[in-house]
Amino acid sequence: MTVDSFAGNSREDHFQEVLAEYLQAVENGHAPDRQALLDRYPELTDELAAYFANREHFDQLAEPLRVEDGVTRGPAAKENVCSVSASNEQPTIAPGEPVPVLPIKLRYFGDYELLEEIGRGGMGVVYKARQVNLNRLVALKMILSGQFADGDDVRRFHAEAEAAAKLDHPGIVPVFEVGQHEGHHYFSMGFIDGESLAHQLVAGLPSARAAAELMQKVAEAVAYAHVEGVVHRDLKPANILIDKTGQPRLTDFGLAKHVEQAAPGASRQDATSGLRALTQTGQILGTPSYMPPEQASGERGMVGPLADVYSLGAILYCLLTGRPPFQAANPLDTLLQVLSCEPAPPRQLNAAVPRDLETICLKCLNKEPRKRYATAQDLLPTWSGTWQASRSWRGRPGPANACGNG
Amino acid sequence: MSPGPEQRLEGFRQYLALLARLQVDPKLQAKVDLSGVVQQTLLEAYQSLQKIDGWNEAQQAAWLRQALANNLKDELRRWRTEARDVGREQSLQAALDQSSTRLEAWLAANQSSPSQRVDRQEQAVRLADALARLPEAQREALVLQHWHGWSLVQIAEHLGRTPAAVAGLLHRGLGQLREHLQESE
Repeated sequence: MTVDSFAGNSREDHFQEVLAEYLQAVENGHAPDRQALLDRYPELTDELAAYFANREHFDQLAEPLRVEDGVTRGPAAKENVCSVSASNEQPTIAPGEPVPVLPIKLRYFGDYELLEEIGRGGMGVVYKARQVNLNRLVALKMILSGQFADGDDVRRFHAEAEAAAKLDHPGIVPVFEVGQHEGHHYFSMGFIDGESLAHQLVAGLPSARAAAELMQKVAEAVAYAHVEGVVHRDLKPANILIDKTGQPRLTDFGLAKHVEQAAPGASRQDATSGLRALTQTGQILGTPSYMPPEQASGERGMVGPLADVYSLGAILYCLLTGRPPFQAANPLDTLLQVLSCEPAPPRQLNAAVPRDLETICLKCLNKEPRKRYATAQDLLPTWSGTWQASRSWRGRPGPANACGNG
Repeated sequence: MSPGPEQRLEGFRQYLALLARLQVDPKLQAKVDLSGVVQQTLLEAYQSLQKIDGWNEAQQAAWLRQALANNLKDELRRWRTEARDVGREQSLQAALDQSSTRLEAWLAANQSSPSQRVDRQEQAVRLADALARLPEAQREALVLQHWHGWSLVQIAEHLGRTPAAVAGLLHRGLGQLREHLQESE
């Protein structure tokens, strides 16, 4: 802004733009010396002088609130220094700034170039990233520090990720690499260009046929993983990505347990500790709405392939009725419902649900694991026998988003 | 007539409200009940009056800061648990993580540093009271710039104004603040 263009503006507008320009220069570390500024805009001497005087007054008064209350210093605090001499200008991060858990402007992480953040949860942050040496797009999941209690936890995480990395199925997002870089544990997965089933459900429910067809593909992938000895343990709409061709891809085996490693009874906890773990971190046990009672009660030794069968039923339930079988105002109440209530029959909520699908749903959701389908494989003939493939999503607005993002 | 204990506690209200605003990420402030947290903190102080009534202002302020920090932590934790299932924007989640980290640092600083001098404590309370009298947008711009270290452009986006308009808010805010402070002297 020069004096020439000043003519068209009101004096106040002109001053505000000059001040804005100056403040932004301070932020960028190129603040002009105060005298140079006054020389450049002699017509604004009064306003600028008043501003600098008021600013100094304020900075002095604000000092006790900054230092002794441990409040973070902002870059504005250095404005006075630089107005005396531009060479004193410092970069923006002040010494008192609390160190974030992960650097915010991180661009590279090991061999990965971080492109954008695509997800964030209690466990960690997921980035869309490019693996530089292989030039491929990946989803990079970084585990936040403090997630692991001890070395055992870390070993368990690596064992799980390695088990997931062995899976090779079109319905499962591949895990590429598990590792540790600069103190952060991470794993990389295939990047799926699409959205989660949870997102799709916000727009509307599929037809019963489309729901059955979708769940058949999901069940196939789960059955494959079970044969390979891997249980997902956290199946829910948010963990089912729908790619651009409409195919479901299971992701996030972060909680998956290698079946052979799960020694029955070895890690039994009482129900209270299960509840506590859930309410404290909300992530350890998964999302209660899709969680079987044996998992909700914290009996980790009991959580096997039949837990995934239950979750498949819960997802189907949501696709048919627009809400998961149990959903209360808070996770704890949901958990208690999972343990003690029977689900409302789907046809009671939506009369258009075919009886066969209701039967399948409720059998999956049985509180007794042994009364469910014995394997995910067993669900397949039931569905393929009953339903012809159809891709039409009815797009009924309804209460679809009540399925939650879980 | 000298003010009773209740009025003396009440005198800390704007100070505590300002501290709460400084500790919690601005993006969360519309979602979290900060004035409720301040109210709760003053109530606790009132209940502990027997203990703290004889203390000087700086000691009382230190007690209140500690109680405020703990109540803020509880509030953020409660909000974190409640809102988890309804799916929260990523930016809010990040803001929550940062505010929690910041609170921890603040609590630690509170515990390790001695109470400040009474005159400096009075000065902080006066500033908070004067800030509370500013029009909302001016106060917001000053707090975001000075304490949260936001850039002019960030503040402009947050307030839905141009950077030049924000510069104007800062200028007028600083001027008015000085007038208020001179009145109260």
